[in-house]
Amino acid sequence: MTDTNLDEDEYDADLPDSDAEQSTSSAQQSTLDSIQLPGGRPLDTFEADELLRQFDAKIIAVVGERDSGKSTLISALLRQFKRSPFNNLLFAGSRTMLGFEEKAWNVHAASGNLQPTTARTSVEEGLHFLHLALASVDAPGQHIHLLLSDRAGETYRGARDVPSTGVSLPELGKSHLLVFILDGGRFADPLLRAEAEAAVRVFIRGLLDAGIIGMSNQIQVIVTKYDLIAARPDNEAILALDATEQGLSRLTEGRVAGFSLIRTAAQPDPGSTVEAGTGLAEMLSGWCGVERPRTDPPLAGMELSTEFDLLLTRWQRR
Amino acid sequence: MSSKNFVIMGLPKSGKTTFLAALWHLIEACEVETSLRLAQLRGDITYLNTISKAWREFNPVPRTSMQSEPTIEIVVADASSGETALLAFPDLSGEGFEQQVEQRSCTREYLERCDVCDGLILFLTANRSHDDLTLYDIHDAMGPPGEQDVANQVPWTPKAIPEQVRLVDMLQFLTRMPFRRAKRRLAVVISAWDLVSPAQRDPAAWLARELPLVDQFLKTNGRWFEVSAYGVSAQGFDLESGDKDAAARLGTSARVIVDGPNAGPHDLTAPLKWLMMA
Repeated sequence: MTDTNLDEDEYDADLPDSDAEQSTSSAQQSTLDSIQLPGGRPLDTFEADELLRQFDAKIIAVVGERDSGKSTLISALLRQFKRSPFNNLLFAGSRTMLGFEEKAWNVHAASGNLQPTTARTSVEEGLHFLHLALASVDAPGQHIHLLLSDRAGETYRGARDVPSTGVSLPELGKSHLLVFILDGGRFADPLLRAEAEAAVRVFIRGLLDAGIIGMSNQIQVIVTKYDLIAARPDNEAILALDATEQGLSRLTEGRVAGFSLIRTAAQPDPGSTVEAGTGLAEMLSGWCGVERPRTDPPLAGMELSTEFDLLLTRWQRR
Repeated sequence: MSSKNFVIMGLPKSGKTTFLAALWHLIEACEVETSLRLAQLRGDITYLNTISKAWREFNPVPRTSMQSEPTIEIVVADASSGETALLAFPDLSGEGFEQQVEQRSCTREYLERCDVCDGLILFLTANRSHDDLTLYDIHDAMGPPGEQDVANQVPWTPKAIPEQVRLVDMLQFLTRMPFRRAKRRLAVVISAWDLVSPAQRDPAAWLARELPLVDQFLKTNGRWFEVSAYGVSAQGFDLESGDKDAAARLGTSARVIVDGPNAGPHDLTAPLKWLMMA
């Protein structure tokens, strides 16, 4: 067994003299015979900060209202890697394995459900993160750390209605990438399409106009259930989505660091011509490749009181 | 004489104790060629005699309970160099590893052993159940549920964690505090190897095919684990449904099946020899 030296720029938050470690050690009560091990549950902002001090992780803020498909999208990721490497990426670890498992439980055959669903995040749970470490097949030792935000959709609905309250949602301004979920199932229905599109468009516009997000942020709109859009007659939904994409691109042009819209179908309905996993490779490549632009993030109205908040200033110093 | 300490890891029914039972016989009886041979009998070998008796008589080897996790010490000699070494490894119960994942705790003894060990042996079994099927898999195979089907929802508990996730977590624990953060040699031993068709008996390929999440984790964490994989059938056949007489006719040691790097066809000591080379 050989002791492993850390890289020069790597801070080991696991070292016992770490302030963070001491403050959490009280939560990790060990007895003479029993040693507490890392929990594996979703990380709170404090734990996320610990990880960010150790790794150059990318914060992916997954934003969407209730039933938009946020949790389904996140839980589909680990499921993908459980079956095989994906898009030339390998699974390298996760500090929140139990978090992924619990979130994906309602898709599991042993859950007793008849139809796959995903456990909703409750408002009371607040902001948490799921951690996923990946690596390229060409560089398996170089890990790419993703922190995926997880928050109840009802909270985002509140921020859509009063955009200035978005300042209390730190993951929005701090993210490397803001991922908005556009519910493809609703978009496919002509009677629900306008509201499905507005849910995303109005939210983005509100956050931009309130200064919550700006040139330090990149935006990605993920359209879920694209198989249902493609199944509509005469390509009418496909064309409508193309127009939506153009509209959102115009809305964000010159106001954010980058915009993209990706059409996904994690689990198409049987008989669909859309292949399972459509768009996920492009989405994941975007997540792994995103870099934070070197501009000052918007700080208007933000209270920098916690370590997680102060992370914002550390990013500025990099 | 050098001293080597190993830690054996594995979930319940992964073949840890059966391996030890057969190993003891092989190195003591010297019926087949092995990399390591028994150099000296020492200490209390009651446990080894008990489990190897069951193995020799084609009976199920008694499982290790959490209340009784004996430490095995064997003095071996390298068949080629004659160099002797004391190998020590506790036969830890699979339930203890389940507890690590489900209750997020381990014994102080386990922690201390891992921190000073010269290598790890991770037992997996080819006799796997598909414990991570999704409703999508069920629908693909059997079609969507009918009107007569009734949901019977069960809340999630840590006991529902599937095998791959358990194994990854067990390994991940070793890369973080409170464990000593160091690179370790890891011999992956896939038991019940007789259940794998001969055409597919490549241990590394089996790992990538059957436990892709574990395989990916090991490939990306070479900083923590140096890995060598072996396929092993300590019984040589399916004890519940196989032909014991036919197995007996093969010869006691010759019924053992081993595949892996530099491993003879019956050489259960090959993983240990590799660990000792660190």
